[in-house]
Amino acid sequence: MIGRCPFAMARYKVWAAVILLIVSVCFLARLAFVRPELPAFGRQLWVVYFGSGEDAYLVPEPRVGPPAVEGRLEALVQGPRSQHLNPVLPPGTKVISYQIEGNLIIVNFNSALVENHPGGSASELITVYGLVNTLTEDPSLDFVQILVEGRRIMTIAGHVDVSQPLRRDESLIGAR
Amino acid sequence: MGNRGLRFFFALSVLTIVLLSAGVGCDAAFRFYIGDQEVDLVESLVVNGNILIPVSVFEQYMGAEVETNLESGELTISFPMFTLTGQAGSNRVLVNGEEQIMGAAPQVSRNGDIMVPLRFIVDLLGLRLNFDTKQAILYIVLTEEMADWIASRRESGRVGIQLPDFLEPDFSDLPETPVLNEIVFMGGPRSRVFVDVKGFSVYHSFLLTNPDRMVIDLADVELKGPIPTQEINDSIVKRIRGDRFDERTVRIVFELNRATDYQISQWPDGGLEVEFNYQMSGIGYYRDDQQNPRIWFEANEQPTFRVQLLPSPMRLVLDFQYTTLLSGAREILVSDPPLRSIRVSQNTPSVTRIVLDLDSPMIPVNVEEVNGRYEIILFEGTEEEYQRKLAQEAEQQVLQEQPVDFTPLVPADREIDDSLPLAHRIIVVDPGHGGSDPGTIGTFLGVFEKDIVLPISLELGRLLEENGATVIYTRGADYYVSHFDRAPIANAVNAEVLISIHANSYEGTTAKGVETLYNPLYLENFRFAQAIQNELINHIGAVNRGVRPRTDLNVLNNANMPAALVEVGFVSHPEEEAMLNDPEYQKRIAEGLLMGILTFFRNYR
Repeated sequence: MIGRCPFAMARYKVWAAVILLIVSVCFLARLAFVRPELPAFGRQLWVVYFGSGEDAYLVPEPRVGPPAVEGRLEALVQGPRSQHLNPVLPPGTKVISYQIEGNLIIVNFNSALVENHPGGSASELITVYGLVNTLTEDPSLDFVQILVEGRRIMTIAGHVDVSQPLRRDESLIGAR
Repeated sequence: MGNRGLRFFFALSVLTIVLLSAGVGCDAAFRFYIGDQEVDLVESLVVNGNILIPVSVFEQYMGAEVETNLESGELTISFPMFTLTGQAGSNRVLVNGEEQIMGAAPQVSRNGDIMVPLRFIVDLLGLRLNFDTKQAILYIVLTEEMADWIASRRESGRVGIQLPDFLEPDFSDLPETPVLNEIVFMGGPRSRVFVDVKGFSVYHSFLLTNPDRMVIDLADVELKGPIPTQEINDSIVKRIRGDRFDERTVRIVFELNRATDYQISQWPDGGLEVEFNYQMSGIGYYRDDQQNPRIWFEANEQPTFRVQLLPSPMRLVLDFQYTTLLSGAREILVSDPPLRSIRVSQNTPSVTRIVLDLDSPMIPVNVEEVNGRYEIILFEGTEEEYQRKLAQEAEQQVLQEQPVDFTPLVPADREIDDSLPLAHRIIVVDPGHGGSDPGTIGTFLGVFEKDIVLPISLELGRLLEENGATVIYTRGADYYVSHFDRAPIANAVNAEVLISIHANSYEGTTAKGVETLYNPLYLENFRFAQAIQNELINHIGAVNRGVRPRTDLNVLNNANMPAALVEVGFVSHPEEEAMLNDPEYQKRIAEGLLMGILTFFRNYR
């Protein structure tokens, strides 16, 4: 009898371990695969800036969901959902990579940003500050440095100096 | 109930955005509160003991209806208890149609606002204006009634940044119960799908395997009709089907080639946008012909990656966003200093991570598509070292190029009549762009900006010389001069003014008119820009888009004299492009610019 005791204990332990394993696998699987989404009421709203129809202002377009830098960049690349708004990035523009250093974000674009840019100071300002204002909506980011294929550039279309990190510009935001 | 709740949520979120963005630079020596809300006073003035503040404050912080016209100086402020109309420069105003005298006249500010006497408006509102001299806080004491009214304006979205009508979802149209209209496959590298739901629903989404599929369950949604099964068969999605799952649930099933993570974002009216991850596989390393280290990978599209260079042990971490690694985690030993090994793994369901173990820093600088695969070009060194190397290369190139002769051509023997209005004035005329830089290109005739602004500039130069000025061009013909080198030219010849002539462009075909940009650092720049803008508009009758203060323009920033950049019209507008291309119109623009310069010298010199 005394000899069997440790064996019985061990069997009990094995079963406990197996059950624990099954429970934890189920739990992990649930974490990994099932994503319960909350209704929109409790969700965050964030905005992307696009160009207005005629007067070349920046207009915030709302997005629902948790804001993230990659989401903001992707929204800029995809362009506006509203037909009344204009994209701020020229066609074919892609974000190669980005880097965050404190309150500065460095965004590396492909050359379409410059090559496909239509030019004109009105549209250049919309491009630069549509990007800068959208990214600096993130409260932890204050400055944006634009790179093209890893290179610091002087200007996108000849007017706005983008060689240095840029600050947010509220004066271009309007909804009239 | 949903309606009100949503509207409030919307207004609140917009307000949060406003609050986040407020609190930037305040020049005022005091802090200003309306009730318990601090106001970010961009500018303030004191005239005859009256504090003047931007009229937009009443709109942004108190919900008033404000209309201003910067050209005529007219302004209207409407509160429920009164409507005030006035005019910059005059202290006589109409309050509900009756004339009253203010302590000081409103004035147009340099930031494009109209400054109005604060106390006068506060008195009209029947409120008190207090000043806490110890803490230097100026504040308007709100009555309960006023505070409620401001709150109601806030709720209706009237306070703060306004979303234009076309963006504000029409919640009155949303049905009581959300309705699923249809499922639209939009495609693209991430197999985008739009689930057209009108109204907000609670939804759950999850992945199932054997067979691999992604499921969205929508709770309490009505079906408009049966959901047809869609055969997709692209690289990610095989088939999309949907049906009522039980009494409360509608289930949408995306049959997948392979389980992969996805993102769902909800549109403000309730619609769901589904996107699957980019698919990434295969990874390798080599040095190219120039001995640049390169990492290659295969993917259905180039994903964006986040770069982090981390110390001890030194490693470069590249996080590919929204990417599924198909080929499984692996480690490649490289031993090609400074690179020791490369590890690739699925870091989170939506991020594929490549880690480079290093002995010294390395950064990615570019991505090239070569033979259907993507190659990340690496630089051995830090970001700073890379930018320095590029700067050195650029300098080398400049040294090799023929230097442009900037020596001004001043006709020494020219006799100038001292009675001429611009006698002995040195004026630099800067035609925008040039040479390899065409500037913007007309949408319909394909006119180059550089070819429009050059004849205007030359004609302006001729007219200026007729009036006695000595004119120096930053470019007198069609060749390239960097915009950064233009103000230095004007500085070198001690010019009295610099005028830069450009043509504009904007998305679409409706934007048109003239605008003049200036650096607001000096009042003279504003005066110069204003003179040019007004005279040009008067002379050619184009749409007046006003003067714009900008601190970021490379042509104007380093000029030591009054400088302005005038955009004489839009080549993206079909009629304006044709006009700008017409030599007669170009001549009239030059005349208008001359008048602007004459006005400036007459009034301020």
